[in-house]
Amino acid sequence: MKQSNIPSQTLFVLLAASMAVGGWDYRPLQAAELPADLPKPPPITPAKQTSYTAVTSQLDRGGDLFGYLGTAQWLDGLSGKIGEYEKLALEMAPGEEESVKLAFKIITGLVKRSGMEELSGVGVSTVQVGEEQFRSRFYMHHAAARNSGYLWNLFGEKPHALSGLDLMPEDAVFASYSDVNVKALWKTLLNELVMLGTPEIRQSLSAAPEQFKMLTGMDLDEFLDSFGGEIGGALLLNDAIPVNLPMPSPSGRPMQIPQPELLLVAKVNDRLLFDQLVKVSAQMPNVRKEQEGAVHKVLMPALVPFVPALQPVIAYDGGHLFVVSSPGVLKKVLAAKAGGPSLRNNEQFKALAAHLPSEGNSFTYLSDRLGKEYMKFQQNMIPAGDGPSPQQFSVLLQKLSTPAITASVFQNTDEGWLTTSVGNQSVADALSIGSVAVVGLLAAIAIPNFVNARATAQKNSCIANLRQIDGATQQWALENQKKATDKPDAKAILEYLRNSRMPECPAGGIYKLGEHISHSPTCSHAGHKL
Amino acid sequence: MNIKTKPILVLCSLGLAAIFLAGCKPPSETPTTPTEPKSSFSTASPSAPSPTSAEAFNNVMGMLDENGSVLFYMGTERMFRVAAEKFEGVRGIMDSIPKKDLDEDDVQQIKRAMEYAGKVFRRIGISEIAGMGVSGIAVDSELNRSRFVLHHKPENGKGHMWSLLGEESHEMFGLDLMPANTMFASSQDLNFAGLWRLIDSEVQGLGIDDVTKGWNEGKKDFEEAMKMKIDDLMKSLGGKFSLALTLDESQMIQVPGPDDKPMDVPRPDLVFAVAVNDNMIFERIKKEIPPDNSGIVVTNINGIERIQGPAVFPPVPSLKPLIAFDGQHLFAASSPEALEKALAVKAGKAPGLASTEKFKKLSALAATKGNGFSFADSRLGEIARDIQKRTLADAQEAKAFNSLMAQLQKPSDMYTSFENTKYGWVWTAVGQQNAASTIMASVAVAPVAILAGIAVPNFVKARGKAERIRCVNNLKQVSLALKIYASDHDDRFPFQVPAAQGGTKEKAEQDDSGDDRNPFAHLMKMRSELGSPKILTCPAHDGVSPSTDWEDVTAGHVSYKLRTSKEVTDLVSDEVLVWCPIHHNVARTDGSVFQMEESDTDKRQPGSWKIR
Repeated sequence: MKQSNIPSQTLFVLLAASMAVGGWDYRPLQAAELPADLPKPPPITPAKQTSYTAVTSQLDRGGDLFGYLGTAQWLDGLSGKIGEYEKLALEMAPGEEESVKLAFKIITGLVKRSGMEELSGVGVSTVQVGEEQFRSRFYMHHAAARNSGYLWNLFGEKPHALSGLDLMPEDAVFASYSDVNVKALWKTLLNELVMLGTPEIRQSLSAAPEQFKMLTGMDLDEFLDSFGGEIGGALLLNDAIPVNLPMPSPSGRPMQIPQPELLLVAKVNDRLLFDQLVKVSAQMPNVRKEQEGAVHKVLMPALVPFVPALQPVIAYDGGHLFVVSSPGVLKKVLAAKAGGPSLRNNEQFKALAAHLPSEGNSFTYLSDRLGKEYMKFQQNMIPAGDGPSPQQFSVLLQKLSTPAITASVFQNTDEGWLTTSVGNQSVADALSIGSVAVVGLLAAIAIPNFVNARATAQKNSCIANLRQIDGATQQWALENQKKATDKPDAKAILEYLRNSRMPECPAGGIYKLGEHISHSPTCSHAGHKL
Repeated sequence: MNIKTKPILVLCSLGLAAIFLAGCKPPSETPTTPTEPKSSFSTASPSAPSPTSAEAFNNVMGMLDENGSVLFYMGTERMFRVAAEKFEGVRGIMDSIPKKDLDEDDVQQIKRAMEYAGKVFRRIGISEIAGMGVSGIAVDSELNRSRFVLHHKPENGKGHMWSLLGEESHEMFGLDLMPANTMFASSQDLNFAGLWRLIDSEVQGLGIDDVTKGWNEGKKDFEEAMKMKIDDLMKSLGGKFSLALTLDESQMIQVPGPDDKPMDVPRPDLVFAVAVNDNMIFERIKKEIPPDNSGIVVTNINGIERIQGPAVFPPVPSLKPLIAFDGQHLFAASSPEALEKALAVKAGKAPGLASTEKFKKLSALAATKGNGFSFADSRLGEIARDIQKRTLADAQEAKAFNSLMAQLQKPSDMYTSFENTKYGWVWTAVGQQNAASTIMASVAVAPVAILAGIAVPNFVKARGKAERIRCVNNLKQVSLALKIYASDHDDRFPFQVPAAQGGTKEKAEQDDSGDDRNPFAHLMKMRSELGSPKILTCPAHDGVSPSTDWEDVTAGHVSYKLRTSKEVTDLVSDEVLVWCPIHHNVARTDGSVFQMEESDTDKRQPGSWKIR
């Protein structure tokens, strides 16, 4: 194995060197010059105008994956087509007319109002944009004028500058921020339920605002209006504070991770939500209220005894509502918002963002720190002893998967949803990892098992032989009136064995009679013992 | 199966799994193992993967229809490369899996299998695939065209797979034999000889002796049974075949329908043609004609030799199969009329499929030259639906059937061409059927079919094995019961004890092979020894379920044969006492049970039958 590794490593170095010299061109594909003898399809004039050009113009050409599926042929007028099946269903289920009709009403209504029928095509592409850097795009297209469905209006309107980036601390390992029209979402849900529902459901739904007020003391509409239409969150790992996990470690090494810190943030139009949270938290002991300039804070004591660093803070600064896991996080967030270091200054994020649009309706970022911590955790979960050592296992993990780094931006454009993401994982990697993992897993399971099965079978069969030999010895001793301390006579005993022959050990061991008749015969193969 | 062959099987399956991965190792790695197999083929090695796959992307896109309703491209160069790199890493780790029970032989065998699998993979040419693509586009308001491309770079394509489905493109084989009323047709270049040589040389070079030995034995058995050399057979085959199904709607015939009512259907005929290089196969078939008057007639009409068989299925008198040879083709036809029609088309005396408007229109949108094609007429689907409808029992069902059919797509005409080009394999399908729908349907059907294919045989096998084991247990208990009876009756089995003493000696009577004619009578005397009558019935006994009540037991419940000749006594140990004719399990007079083969139990004779 070592021998065969050397050439492939050499090749790799050579390949890398040739790339450095020749210059690896990552630029998106320009015009294609096709060979003259390429078997092109016989020319035709397409009979139907599809959304192909509209969709693929937003995708990257020249990569390992490029796909388009026109959906108009199925989805355009889908509610009408579904309606045609109603007749068939009614014929097939006589006597169930009412429920069949209701089911069809629900489905066609959902299809019509959601905007599904307006979807004209989907597209996907992956292209390499740097060494171990890939950009994928996923596009769900509708014609510019056809956007009445509520799907197209729930997650923001036009793409805008990604101001949420200014709320995320520089060292966030995971961050996500998105436009969400909370009020529209609720109204849509309500509307759908009312459309589908029986009178009872309608009645209970119309009572919902009353109940909400009774439970929270807030007016439902005011509550919904209080949301500013942007919600986000981030996860941080604080290396300065290591945390011991309160769980047994099979490897014997302590389970230690950096202190995870959490940030939840929502854009708000007024203090209603903050005041409500203050009211709720006031019921807890040792809660402190503070004000620092325009920032109102509610500080809580450590909630869980063995995680002293978890001291949640709720804060409101006039524009956003923050819920964080510790005062330190709030400090970072407020500093970022004030123009200090934010995720925009994070080197890993910057490298990814170079290939992303700068405007959008939502973004997500995942650092490889999370994956690396998880790998460390996995290594600790491996029991010491049998099997690959933790070092070997970590090498195996690294071979199989590199911790994911990814950043993506979602845009709700005039012509549909476009998601662009950049990361270190390509489709090809995902597919090859899948197959390697499957084969590796099969091999890891199969080889020791089959070896064990074979060894066990051989052992059992050998022990049966030993038992026979012992039986023959005892029979011989009985018939020839030998004492327990007499030495067994191998030649004489053969007569008491089948075919007058010593059986053979399937693993190639050699049989030896015991020193005395009272001793069991033995096999030279280790582990084959009567 | 002995214990030694099992690891081989496991290795083979492991090796197969490894083929995909090991095969795409970076190609500059020079394999230098002492077990390097000698292959009759040159070892093709693909060129080094280029860092960017744009060339493959451009070429595949150029071969597809853009602007249609579906398009998909996947580049495979990077995927193969990454998989190989990852696999190398995993192989290194596999070395560190604890192998305290794994001896050096096994380790070497696993390594050899993996290395060999890698070489096969490269020689076959799968790692030369640079990309694949699918497209679908509407040609006019009715017709759709789909393209499927499996692309290799023009400088590659050296692996064996690329020449198996034909090489140079040519006029479609067999099209000149297909009548105008052809409903379904298929034609394909298939390099039989190449395929055979490939498999044979790979197996010979495998380096696993048991597999190679088994393969060579199978080869010899086949050659003996067929009375010809496989190499000669391969040389004789021309590497092209075609098939045409015609339906003659002007000639309705009657076939048995549901409830034995005759049903009118258009007369079907089938003509199968294979290109051959000589008359070897035809002469070989001629020799197999039985000398007695079996109704087979050999004739020679217009220089075409025919072996005419009798009507094989009397309810359909038009079915009179024949085999014919015209110097270049070997024909198998469902009737002499079908062959005449095919030959008339070839001679230009009758209109052929190629001259029909439908065929001309479809094929012009695909490729008229290539290495294979298939054609299906929508009439075939319509007729099939019509027949299906007529088999429905009542009007209610027919009505539901009609509404269902109205929702489904109409039967489609379809022409598919296949070309082996410098840039890889290209399939083009033209028909009313929509590519995207077809893909969706096959995506849904294929996994189900594969799962069923895997599960069903395994399930059947497992059941068979379990039944055999239960049968062994039954025999063990029956023989034990007989021994208990004997120890209570002065070492005599019931068939050696006179009726006066409670036995069945007078009833013992053996057939020609020495089995007792009435085992039921003897066994019924042993109710208390046997305990339950369940054990008298083998679990694989068709149509008989074991009885739990002695009152219900009949002779039919007894699956097992009893040996009652005078040699079978409790004083000897190795006579067969009772055995199962289904599983060929036998129990001896000493109470031990053995699993035998049918060839062993067939050798039994009256009197003594000893098993050692």
